[in-house]
Amino acid sequence: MSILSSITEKPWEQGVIPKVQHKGKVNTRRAGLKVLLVVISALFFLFIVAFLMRSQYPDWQPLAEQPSQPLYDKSQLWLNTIYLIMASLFLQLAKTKRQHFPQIGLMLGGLFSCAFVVGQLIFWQHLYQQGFAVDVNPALSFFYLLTGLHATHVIIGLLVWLYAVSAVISRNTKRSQAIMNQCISLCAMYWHFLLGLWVLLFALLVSKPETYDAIVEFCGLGGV
Amino acid sequence: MEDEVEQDMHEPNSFWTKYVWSQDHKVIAIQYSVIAILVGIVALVLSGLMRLQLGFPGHFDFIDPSAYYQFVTMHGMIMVIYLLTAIFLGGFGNYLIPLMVGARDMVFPFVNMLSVWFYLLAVLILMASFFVPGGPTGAGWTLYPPQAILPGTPGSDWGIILMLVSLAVFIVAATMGGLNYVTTVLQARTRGMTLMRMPLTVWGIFTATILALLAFPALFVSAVMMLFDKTLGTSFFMPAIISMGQQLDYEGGSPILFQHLFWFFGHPEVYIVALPAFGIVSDLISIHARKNIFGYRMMVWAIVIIGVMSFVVWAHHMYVSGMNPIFGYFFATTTLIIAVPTAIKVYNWVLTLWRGNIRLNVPMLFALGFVSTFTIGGLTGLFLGNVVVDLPLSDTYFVVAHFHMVMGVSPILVVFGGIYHWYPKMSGRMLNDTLGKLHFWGTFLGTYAIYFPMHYLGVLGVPRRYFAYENYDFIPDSAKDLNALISVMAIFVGLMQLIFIFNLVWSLFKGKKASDNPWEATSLEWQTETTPPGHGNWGKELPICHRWAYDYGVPGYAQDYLPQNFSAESGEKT
Repeated sequence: MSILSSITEKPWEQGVIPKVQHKGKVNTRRAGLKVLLVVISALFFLFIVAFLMRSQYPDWQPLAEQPSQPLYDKSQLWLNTIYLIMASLFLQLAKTKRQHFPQIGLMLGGLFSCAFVVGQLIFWQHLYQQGFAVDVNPALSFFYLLTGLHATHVIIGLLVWLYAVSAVISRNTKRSQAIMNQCISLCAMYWHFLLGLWVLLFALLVSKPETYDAIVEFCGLGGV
Repeated sequence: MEDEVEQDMHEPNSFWTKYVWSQDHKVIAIQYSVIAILVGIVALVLSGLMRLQLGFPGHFDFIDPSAYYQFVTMHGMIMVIYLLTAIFLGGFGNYLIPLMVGARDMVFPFVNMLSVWFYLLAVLILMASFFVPGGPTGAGWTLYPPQAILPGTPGSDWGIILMLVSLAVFIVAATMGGLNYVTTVLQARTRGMTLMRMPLTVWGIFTATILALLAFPALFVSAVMMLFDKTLGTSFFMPAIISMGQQLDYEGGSPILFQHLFWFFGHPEVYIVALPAFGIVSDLISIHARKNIFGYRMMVWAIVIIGVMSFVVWAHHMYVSGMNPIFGYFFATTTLIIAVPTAIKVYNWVLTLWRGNIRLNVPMLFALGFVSTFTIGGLTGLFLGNVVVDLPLSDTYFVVAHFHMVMGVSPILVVFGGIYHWYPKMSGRMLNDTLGKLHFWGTFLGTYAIYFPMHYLGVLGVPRRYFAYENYDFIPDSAKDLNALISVMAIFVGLMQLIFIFNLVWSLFKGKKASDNPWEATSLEWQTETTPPGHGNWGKELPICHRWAYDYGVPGYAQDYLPQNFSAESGEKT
């Protein structure tokens, strides 16, 4: 039933009672995850709006324009991006449930995610050693804030991943098999989302000031 | 069948799993409500202290300006977030959603349990700020930078940090709860429970939860960024500034950006509190007037439209902030438009009462009280929504009167009405009727006596947020007399709440035993096999929903109501 027809139903009239309404746990968890992803999207959307509005103030300095700027050398960030792509890819492969592949895919997906988090930390340390601390300029503050928050979400995902791994280790029962399959399917969706989010943040953080100006102009955020 | 097995696995059997680490939505709801009421009492005492200073300045040595601002801030924040939001969503939402849609529990019971513990943690962090050096923050509940984190503002060392951390933890708790409420409504409704057969209470809480899930991130963003400004020295919101003769390290930040983020949360927050109240009041009025709700579909659509529109009115809180004045036109227009669906709801409540068989039970008294206070508060909102009227009234007691009527008194009357209505289901005993009526009249008339005169103070130009009103020529002595009266009434209303607390505790042990359905209501929560409902809510079989929740006075039946699970074919409940 479409949304429109369900909210225009006339409930005072006698309707037909559907035979089955129950949708089962898997669907429920997927639905719950989708709601969560909407909330996380709202969170990052608002951060990005704040970023764009802040970028219009005169003390703003871009991060990746000149060799002297912190994100000019992006090689570590590209490497981290590849880690996250691999993580996403392996979880997707694990989901397809080929022979023995779920376990291997799950493990590799998690390990690449750990590599991503460690890689981000290495890059933070690298920046810090070069004197680019969090309070140096507002764009850099946003860089630490957004990457930190994104990595926190990866780590939260890794907690679910650990739960699935524990199910793999004791994989004798049907129940642990079911838990693992469900976790893999949910993790795959979550990781694809985090990958998309990371690519968006990466692109935003290394863009040119003209790009910010254009977006702000287009969205009517200027002069607020 | 799988569902039954799943439920059996969660059956708690020790004191700890049953009452403390419980995953049962009914216990979690009561935990949420008890914490919210306790912290609400703290906020009530703070408001009494504020009124002592305003009504009788100079008589209380322990209230200095810093303490006064701390009382104001903590009172506002606790009442809006930690009491009203928590009790409507965490309390009523948790208790009623699964019962009203015919589910055995929330869909993620473990996450639901985490939610209440995170909420308790947030409350404890907030309360801890009373005991740190410098005390809690005194920045006002809006926490505007730069002053919120600068020296000179009370609690700018520790208080503000604890406040921001507490808010962040609360948002995590609210998100975990919210995921449950939304997913349960979408996924766990029983057979026959279509969206449009849900009671309006569920619609109100459901829509408010969606608002909370989308609006709280804005508060989270502003809290985290301000925490960075405070602790790490970033300049998200902090402009270049000289404080106490010293140039600080901040430069270039935008305080207006904070205001936009804060009110992008802050205005939907009004409706996060109001929409559940709308829903609950609709049900109370319908049940106690023995009539179907007038214009059910319009009521649902109005809730949804108000929810959507609440995201495009936020800057009406910022007419005097120095933002682009052209924005004023847009936000004034949207603000006035939102009055239309709201007015539809008020008319529909009145039309539901029209020629109803009204039973003036205590919940009904509170519902009627709400319609009155909400209409008055809403009308002054039309004044303040217009830029030209708002400018002179901004920062006066007119604003204080407006928002206390519309989102202080009105929702809290619904909280009381709801508790009087559902207490029999929660505890198996009725609340005392005489004490309830005394509580209602004291609270209802008392709050009018507090807030109605404040409108006059506001029109006189008496500014809000002032610690004392000495040596202002434009404030006549009569305003001071009025302030004394308001303070006396505030203390009176505060004391009236003791009756309510006493009634809650006394009735738990000595109250009259309640039947399964004392109000003769149709919705599913009153059709459970036992009162209070046992673990899993329903017996072996889930109920089947045959009709909407408003079949009162249907011709051809001996009783004047048909429960939602009553089948006309078989003539019995299924």
